[in-house]
Amino acid sequence: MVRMSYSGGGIMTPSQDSEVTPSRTKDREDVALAARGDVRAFARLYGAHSARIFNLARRMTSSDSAVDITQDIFLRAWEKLGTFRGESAFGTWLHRLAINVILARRSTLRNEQRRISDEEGIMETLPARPGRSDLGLDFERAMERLPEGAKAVFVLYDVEGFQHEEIGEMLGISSGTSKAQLHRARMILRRHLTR
Amino acid sequence: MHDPWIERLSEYLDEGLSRSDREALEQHLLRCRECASTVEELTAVRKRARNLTEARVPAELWSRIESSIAAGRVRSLPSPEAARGQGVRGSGREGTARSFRGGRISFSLPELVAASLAVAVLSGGGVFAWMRVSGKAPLGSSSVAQAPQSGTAGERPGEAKPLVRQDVAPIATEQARNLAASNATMPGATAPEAVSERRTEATPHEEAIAELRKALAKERDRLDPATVRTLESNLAIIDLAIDQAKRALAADPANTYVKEHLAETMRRKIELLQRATMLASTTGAEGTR
Repeated sequence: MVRMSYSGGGIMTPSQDSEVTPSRTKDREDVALAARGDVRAFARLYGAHSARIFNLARRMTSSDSAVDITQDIFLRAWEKLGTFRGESAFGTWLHRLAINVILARRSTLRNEQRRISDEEGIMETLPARPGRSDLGLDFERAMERLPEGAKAVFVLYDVEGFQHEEIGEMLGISSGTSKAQLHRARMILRRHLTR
Repeated sequence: MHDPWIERLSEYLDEGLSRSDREALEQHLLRCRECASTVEELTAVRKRARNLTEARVPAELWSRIESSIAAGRVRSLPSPEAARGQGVRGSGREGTARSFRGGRISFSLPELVAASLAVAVLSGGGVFAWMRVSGKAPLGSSSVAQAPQSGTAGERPGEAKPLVRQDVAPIATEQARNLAASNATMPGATAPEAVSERRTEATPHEEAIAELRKALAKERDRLDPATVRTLESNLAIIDLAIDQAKRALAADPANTYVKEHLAETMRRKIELLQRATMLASTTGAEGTR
């Protein structure tokens, strides 16, 4: 897994970010064209990156809202292509932008933090082993049902590969809270591993 | 009794414990079956998270994005009123990233009608011209039949030469061509050439049109009856242009010019419907204040 490094300035740097790969070069060319209004170039960028962005949106929010959010993300990207400076890979820039859009969509950060604190103690109420009804849930459906704070941290850490400090900065929580939310999510999800 | 080590197991897996804590926990795991079992389960969760199946992106998503981009682009072009220094309502940039389901009114309906008429008639004229030079029978409306026909005089049937886009479409810029071409190349999007082969299967454009038609039907009572008549009349002209393009494409599936016009005309219809729906919604909202 590629661990992402979030600089805090809106730029994330995955480990291979400094590499000049053919796909990255192609992205750069397409970004330059799209920034001048070439929709075909933007369509190629969409083709190359939409699956990852769509799945990020789906996991961070819900399957129901993922289409609308992905649309918003790409329209925002289209608007902001001119601000892409090429210091990171386009995919990294887009991913960061996507997270911003997703987080903005999830009501407000303040509400999110309040929800996280409201969830304190939830683990104590969970059964140590799955009940029969839990076993019918698909793992990803179970992810979707996680408490919002735990879901965000789980997706960002275990699926997307961010570090707790980066996640804390993105979500406006401490890295300690991020660790607690991750553990909370994993403890809930272990009950859904049978499928 | 709650085992305090339970809360540290994820940190242990992620190598976040200090050396002394890690050693103490490992000693604990030798004695505690519950914690040892939980470590195995959490390890499995972590592994599962790294091997999730990617869901397919819905095929219609690109069409929606493209339509929104197109709508923003059209608005950024100067209208005749703007060119005369009269300005255009709501021409701010904020709507460029407008959602398919939301946004602001940026054209008045007369502006929309004028624009759609121009596109429909001129597009229809282009297709009509192509059909004439290629020996196909013209289809229907006299309004389209009277549209400008460029570069066709004196040419014999069967000797169609490629038509020049700027002859027939005032807003057929390089960007518009890009839009049309991108629509044909996007994964999951319905390629124009598929239209003739799949006439009974709704394309993403057609699905969007149906959805907008439904939305407009709910709101149309809020529009002035004369406006509705004008709108329907212009939609009918656009429909005719679409039908002509489809038939032309069925006769010559490889004709890029017709493909582009079909895609573009359908997008114009979507745009007109979108804006009419928004106008109706806005009118209704203003009426309730």
